[in-house]
Amino acid sequence: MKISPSPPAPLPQGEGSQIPPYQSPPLPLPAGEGRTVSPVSTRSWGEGDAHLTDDIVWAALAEVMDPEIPVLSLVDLGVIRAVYLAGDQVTVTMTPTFSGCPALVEMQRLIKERLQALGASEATVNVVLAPPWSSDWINAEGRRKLKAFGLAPPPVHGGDVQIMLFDTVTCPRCDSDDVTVRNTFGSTLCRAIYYCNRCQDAFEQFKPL
Amino acid sequence: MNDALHTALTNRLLASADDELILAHRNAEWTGHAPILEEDIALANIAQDELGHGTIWYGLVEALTGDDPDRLAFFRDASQFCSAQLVEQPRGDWAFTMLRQYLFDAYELTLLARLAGSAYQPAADAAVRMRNEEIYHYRHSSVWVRRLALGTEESHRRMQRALNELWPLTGQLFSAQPGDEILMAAGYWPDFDEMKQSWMSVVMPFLEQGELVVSDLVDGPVDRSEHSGHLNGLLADMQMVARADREAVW
Ligand SMILES: [Zn+2]
Repeated sequence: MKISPSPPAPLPQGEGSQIPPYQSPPLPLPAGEGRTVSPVSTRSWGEGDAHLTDDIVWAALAEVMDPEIPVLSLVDLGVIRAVYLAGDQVTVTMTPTFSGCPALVEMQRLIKERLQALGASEATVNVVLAPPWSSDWINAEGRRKLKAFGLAPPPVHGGDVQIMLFDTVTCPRCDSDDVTVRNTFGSTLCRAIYYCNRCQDAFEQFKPL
Repeated sequence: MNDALHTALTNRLLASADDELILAHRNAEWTGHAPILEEDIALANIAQDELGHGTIWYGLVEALTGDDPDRLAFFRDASQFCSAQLVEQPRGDWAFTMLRQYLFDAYELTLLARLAGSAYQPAADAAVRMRNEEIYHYRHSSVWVRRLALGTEESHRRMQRALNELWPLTGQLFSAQPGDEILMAAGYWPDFDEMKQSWMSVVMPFLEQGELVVSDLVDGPVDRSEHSGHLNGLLADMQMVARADREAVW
């Protein structure tokens, strides 16, 4: 039996309650605009003493790869929310992708390790839930890398993931949109399985969330 | 936060955490045994998501009481759990598992949609965080319930049998526990009666479309301190390794 994309039931809605409409989290701003950096971030710690700057830290974090998708950096993935510097003490705020993502602990470890290698005297990684991570936060570079890796990038959904579940997916190999969803769950929490009718082969998609 | 509110909130968060943990364990029991490979993968994913949600709820409990989530999961006895009997039931057949998941997903989405507006910000943040993941579960379980309900005579019969067993257990999900009135008054938790009405307005027509008959409301368990006989066995299995070796890391 195949998983056919037969229409699912209507979703329970929040009608009759005080729920504000769901707002998509803001997109991370391009480098240099709006990164959260403490005022002392570029302070020099004496002659000849290599000092950390926010640019150095962000560049280093851009070299830390997602343990499950090793071509994608944590910055591409949009999980790094802020960097705070106090001298050579670094605090990084990050947010998990999927709630049950087992890579979260490994990501924290990799960030710490990278920051220590950079010369941070103290490296702290804080995990925050709000605003919730959205696959919309994967940057253009990340989307390009995903496609090259053979994973269809998630469509940008602007906060309403429902309307995007089965639409606007193209094959990462041939760009055909003649594709069929095989399983909205895949080999990791963030992947769905599709079939390209043109290539006549399966491919994986990074799921919109 | 006064003591009464603190206690009520802790108990309610613990109930949500326990529901997720126990359901995740039941679903994980299918790993390697699902009818087809795609479903084995899907249910393992869903179990992992629910476990992730449980971790978030236990984390909120920890922020209030300092209790270690691992201790809460692995070193409490059945009498200290607050899970609903719906999630404690053995996995049954595929119809039972999918219908249980559907009924619970519909409940969880109903809850999360309202909780996103909670005056208790950590709960509101958690709800928004989980909601999009839950949409995937709901779509998956509802497709299966419909397919089996409208499938063959045999699949319909099994789905109806599952409904007869599960339906009386759904009331407990919407039963306010002692202290919940304080949470509702504080705007920390949504109103249970309103949630139940909303849930019914979605679930009933869906089941009817599947030509499934909902029996007259049978009184099921209300209080979350009342557990099914199945919880003990589940905990024995789930907690065995942690209790055998307290230093174990995995
Ligand atoms: Zn193709």
